[in-house]
Amino acid sequence: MIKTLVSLNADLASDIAIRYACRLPQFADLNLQAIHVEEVEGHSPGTGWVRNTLERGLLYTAQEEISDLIRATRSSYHTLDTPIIRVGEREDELLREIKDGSYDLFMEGILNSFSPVNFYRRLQSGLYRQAPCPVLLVKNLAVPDRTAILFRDHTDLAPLVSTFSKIFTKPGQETDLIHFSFPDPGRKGFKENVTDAEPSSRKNAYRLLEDAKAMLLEDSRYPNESWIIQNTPEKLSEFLADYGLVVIQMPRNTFQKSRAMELLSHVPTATLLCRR
Amino acid sequence: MRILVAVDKNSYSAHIVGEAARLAANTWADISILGIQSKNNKTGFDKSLSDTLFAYRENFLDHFADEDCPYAKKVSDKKPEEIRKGIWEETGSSQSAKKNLRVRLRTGNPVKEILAEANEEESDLIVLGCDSTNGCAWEDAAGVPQKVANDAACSVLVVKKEERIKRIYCCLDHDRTSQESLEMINQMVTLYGAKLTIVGLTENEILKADVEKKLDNILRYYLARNIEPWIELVEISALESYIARGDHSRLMTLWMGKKSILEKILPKSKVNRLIKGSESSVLILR
Repeated sequence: MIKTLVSLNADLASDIAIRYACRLPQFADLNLQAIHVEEVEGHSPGTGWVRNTLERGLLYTAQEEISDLIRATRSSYHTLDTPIIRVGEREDELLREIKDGSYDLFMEGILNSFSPVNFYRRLQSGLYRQAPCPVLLVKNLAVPDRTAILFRDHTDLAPLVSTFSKIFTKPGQETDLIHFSFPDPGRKGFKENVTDAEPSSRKNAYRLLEDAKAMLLEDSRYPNESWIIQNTPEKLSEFLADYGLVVIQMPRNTFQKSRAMELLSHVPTATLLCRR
Repeated sequence: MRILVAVDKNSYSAHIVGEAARLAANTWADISILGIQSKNNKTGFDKSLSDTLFAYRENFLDHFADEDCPYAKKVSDKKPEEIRKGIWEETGSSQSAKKNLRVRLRTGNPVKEILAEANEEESDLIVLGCDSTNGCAWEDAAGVPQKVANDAACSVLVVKKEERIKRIYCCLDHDRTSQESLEMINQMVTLYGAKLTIVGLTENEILKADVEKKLDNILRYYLARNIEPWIELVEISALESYIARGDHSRLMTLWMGKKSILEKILPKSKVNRLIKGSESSVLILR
C-alpha cells in the first residue's frame, strides 16, 4: 500500500485533484488520506481559552467545507471521508504530517495556467523542496491510463523508474518512454519513434531509452513506445497533453528559471515529480 | 435552432456545408444556404452561383440517410423564384419534411446581405468559411468573415481549414455566459469529437472567488454530460497572445455577448486580427 497524503482546500483545484485521486486506485494500490490546513491570517488573537475556542470554530468550519467538497465529487473512496484538519501555517503543517506519517506520496491540485508564475512559486516552495517523498501535482482531470516517463541525458534513471514502478503496480496502464531535449535557438525540433528500430544517430538517447526499458522490465512492466523528441517546452507540452500522467524528475535547481521548469509549467495534465 | 450557412464558390465553403450538415444532424436545425451575387451581374441572376448553391444542398443532404433525414430529400431542378427584388429562393419543401432546408441567393454587398438575412430570419448561428493563408478574403470582397463576426447579433462560426478540430478552447464571460452558449459548446464538442478547455481569466495572477465558483459550476455542468473539460487560467493582459497562438486543430470560442468582459478586452480590431491571422477556427458566441 502506498500511503498517500492528499492536500485539499475548498476550491476548484482540489475539486479536480480529488476526482483524479479517485481514479488512481484502478492503477495503483493506494491508501488515500485527505488533509486540510486552515490558515489563520496574521497572528492568532489571544491565548488559552480564547485561542482554543477560535481554533475549534475554524476546525469545525473547515471540516464542513472539505466534507462538502468530498461529497460533491461523489468520491467512492471511503478513507477520504475522514480528512485530517489542522490549523496553522500550511507548508509547515503539511511537511510535518508527511514526515510524521511516513507518507510515500504527496498529492495536490494546482490550476493549469498560461502564465508560469504560480507554478514556479509552488515548485520553489519549502514544501516541495523538503518533501521526502514524490509529489503528484494534478492540473486537470484525465484518466491515468497512458503514462509518459520523461528523461534526458543527465537524468538519474534508476530512482525515476523505480518511483513510478513502486507506485503504479497494477496492470492496464500504457507506458511510453520519452527522451527529450531542447533545440538551440533558431533550430527546428524533431520527434522520432524508436520503439522498433535503433536510430542511425542519437545513440546516447537511444541507449538511455534501452536502459529505462530494461529497468521497467525488471519490475515486470512492459513499455509501450519509445520516443526521442527535441522541441521547445511549449511544443513538447502539446505532445504530452495526450497522456493522463507525466513522470519526471524534479528539476535540480527550482530557483533558476530553466527550459525544464518551463516545460513542467506548460504540461496540462497530472505530473509525478520524482526525487533524485 | 436556425442556422445560416453563408457560402461562396471557394472550396472552404464546400467544407463548411459538410460541417453544417453534421451540426444539423445533432440539432435538427432549420437551415438556409445563402449565396451573395454581385450587383454588377448583368443578367440579374447568377446562374453559376445558383448551380453551386444547389450542389451544396445536395452535398448537405448526402450526410443524411433517407429514413433519418428531417429535410425534404427530393431536390427540385426548377430555377429559384425571385421572392423580393434581388432575392431568389428555392425551398425544396415537402409536407413530409420536419425541418426547413432552403437555398437563397441575395444581391449586393456580402456582409450587409448576410447580416440582413440573419436578422430577417432570426438566425441563431451563422456558419461561414475562409482560408487564413489568403488573409481570409472572400471572393472579390475583403474581410467578410471578420465583419460578419463583429457585427452579427447572433453567434458566428468561422471555420478555417479542412482539418479535424481536436480541442475547443472556450473563453467565457463567467458572469453572463448563457445556458444556450454552454449547450452550443456541447454541440461543438460532440460534432468534432473534440476535447474541451475552459479558460478562466485572472488579474495579477489572482483568480477571483466568484470566477472560480463559476468555473467549478461549468466543470460540473460538463462532467454531468460526460464531457471532461480542462481548465486553463489566462491573465487578461495575455489573452490576445493566448488566443492568437492557435493552429488548425483548434477552435477558439469567445463569449462576446452584450457588456461581456471579452467585448471590452477584444475590440473589433483584435477580433479582426484573430480571424484573419490565426490558423484556428473561431466561434463567437452571443
